[in-house]
Amino acid sequence: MTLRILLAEDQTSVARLVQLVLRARGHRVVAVQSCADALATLAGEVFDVVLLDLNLADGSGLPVLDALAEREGKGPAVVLMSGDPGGANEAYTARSHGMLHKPFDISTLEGVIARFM
Amino acid sequence: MAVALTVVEGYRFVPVETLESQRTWPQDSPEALRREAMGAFAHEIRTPLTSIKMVIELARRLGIGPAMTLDEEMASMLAASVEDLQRLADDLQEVSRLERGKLILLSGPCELAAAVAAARELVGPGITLDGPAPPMVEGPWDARHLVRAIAGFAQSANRLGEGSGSVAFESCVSGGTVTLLFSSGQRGGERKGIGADAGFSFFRSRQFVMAMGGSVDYERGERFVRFSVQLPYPAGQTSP
Repeated sequence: MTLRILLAEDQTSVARLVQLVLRARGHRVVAVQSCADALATLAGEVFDVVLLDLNLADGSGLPVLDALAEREGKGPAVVLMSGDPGGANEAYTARSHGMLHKPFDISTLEGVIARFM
Repeated sequence: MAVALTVVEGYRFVPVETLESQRTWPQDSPEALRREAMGAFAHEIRTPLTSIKMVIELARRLGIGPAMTLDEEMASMLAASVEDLQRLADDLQEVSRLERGKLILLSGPCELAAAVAAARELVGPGITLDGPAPPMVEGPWDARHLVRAIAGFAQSANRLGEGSGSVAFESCVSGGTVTLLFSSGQRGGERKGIGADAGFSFFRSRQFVMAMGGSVDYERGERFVRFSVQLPYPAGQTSP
């Protein structure tokens, strides 16, 4: 099964590697580097999964979660990515469907994504 | 009335009370800042570590095959990630040496305008320091560390503010102090302390300024931040 995945990650090498792995699995990945671009992309396209880094250049990712929460109907599953194992507070985790703690490995990434297939 | 000197297309005078109101806020304790600095460091090493882990795992899966372009790309990612780790380790060591008195900064002379210009270069094209030219003053500051501090505050202000890449920058002279103001975003929302999300660049820059005899205040809202950096400018100091 092919998933449509939005990747919001501003660290170029991590974003590139995640794309490599997910595309090799047959998924379609759209990558953005900011909250603003994530919001704009979500407004125009439908995704199954959003991989959202919590420390983007222009914000914490919370506006993206807010925007998804306001949508009617079933929205995409949201997987948060964080470099702070204890940093994602309830405001984030309550509205997400998974968490990737950096540094994560490929197997962990694949395992999290496989849950939504 | 005391006055402070700043530059907007030439020199003009600004009431010192205005400056004071821009830099007097309740601040976190030094111990709280220290904890946040460690948190920022721990946070920042995780991103390059993620790249390294993933490249190693990819390389193991792919083996050494004909996909040479991929191999080259992965090697570049590895090199960049190791460089990021090296820079963070160097920064941490330097801060540690400052705190232990093992590193003594130079006492100038350093031209503020030249330091700001060098910081603009250092911070790169993704972040701009927008505002009037700094006053032509020379102070007892370590030029190399002041440049890195200015660049670091700019990076952190952009990160905590609106993230547009544009950081408002002002500088002025008031009596025995040169004040540098960095701000990003619009005031509003809940007032917040400086957290690990300021990035290690903030904590490193603050240590540099303190080692030069200065101080750093800050004000932070939801998507707003303003840093006020005070550098010593002894009486009798002359312009170059």
